[in-house]
Amino acid sequence: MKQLWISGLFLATLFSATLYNAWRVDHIIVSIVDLLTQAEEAARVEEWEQVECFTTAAKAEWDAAEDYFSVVLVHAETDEVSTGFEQVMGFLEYQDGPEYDSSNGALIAKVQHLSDVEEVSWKNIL
Amino acid sequence: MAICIIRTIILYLLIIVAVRLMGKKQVGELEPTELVLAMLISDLAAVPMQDFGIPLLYGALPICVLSALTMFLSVLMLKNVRFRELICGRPSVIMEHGKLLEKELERNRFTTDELMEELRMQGITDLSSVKYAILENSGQVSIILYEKDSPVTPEQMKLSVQETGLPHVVISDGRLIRKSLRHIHRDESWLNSQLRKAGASHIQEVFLLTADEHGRVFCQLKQREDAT
Repeated sequence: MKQLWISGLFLATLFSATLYNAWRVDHIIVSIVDLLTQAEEAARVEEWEQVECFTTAAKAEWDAAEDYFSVVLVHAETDEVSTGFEQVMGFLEYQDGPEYDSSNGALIAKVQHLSDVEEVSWKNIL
Repeated sequence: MAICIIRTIILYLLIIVAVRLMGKKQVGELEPTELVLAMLISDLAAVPMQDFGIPLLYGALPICVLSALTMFLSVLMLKNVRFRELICGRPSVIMEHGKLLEKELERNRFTTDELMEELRMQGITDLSSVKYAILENSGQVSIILYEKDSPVTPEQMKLSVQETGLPHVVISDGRLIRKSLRHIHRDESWLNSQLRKAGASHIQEVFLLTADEHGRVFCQLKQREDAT
């Protein structure tokens, strides 16, 4: 009976840990997406200093979580986001409005996707 | 990652059902849960080993989940007879009093050719001598003969026979295994006398020497190189 409890507890612990992971990934992603959206809004009114401020903050959050993400997420997807950040930072330097808008939009979608794949839903299970 | 666990559980249970439906012949020596574990684990370990783009956890996590599930189901099977029958099935009597039970053979998808093969492998040529043939959960067939067709035992013949012990390997390819010598409660002087009896002057000349606790010895010397 002890073995039954140990295996049951082990399964429950693993499942709880993965639910915590889904929550943590979502928590970080929401914060990054929020900053990138604010940067997008600032870019529309050509407030480039604010855009840089929000994008740098988002990049700093991403860098801080990158090691964790590389353990729990597919590397190809995290690499795409890192490249996306490099592109956005490049367009930001030249203050190229349309190019920045398009690459920032793509980056938000890629970052959001990382959270979506961790969501416990029928769509993901099936 | 949670998706990974849920998918692993669903697939594991699905494959157990599939293995049960495949029938006893596919199971071999393993329980269905163990067979499924063996089928899945090797593949799960190989994928993240080859593809560096997949985090190691994606391989390790399903392996942990499968091992825990197998342990969980094994203990449940140990505690609950009905659950054990559900997962492993129950032995099927396919021959009774010398007659083939067609329905049981059909239910287990077991052909008469396969039954004949099993009987021949057990040295049985007369079907009417079989009292029961049982298809076990492991996929093997157990044959129980009528008493009149069963081999006689020394007890039935009222004969006294000497018990044999478990043979231990004392010398293997010229090397002495002291642990075996201790197991049979003998010393090296006893071993030397056995070597002399076998015509060997040294341990290195012996290919295999086994002995049991009753002192029964088997000794084979190494073949001389010039003999070939």
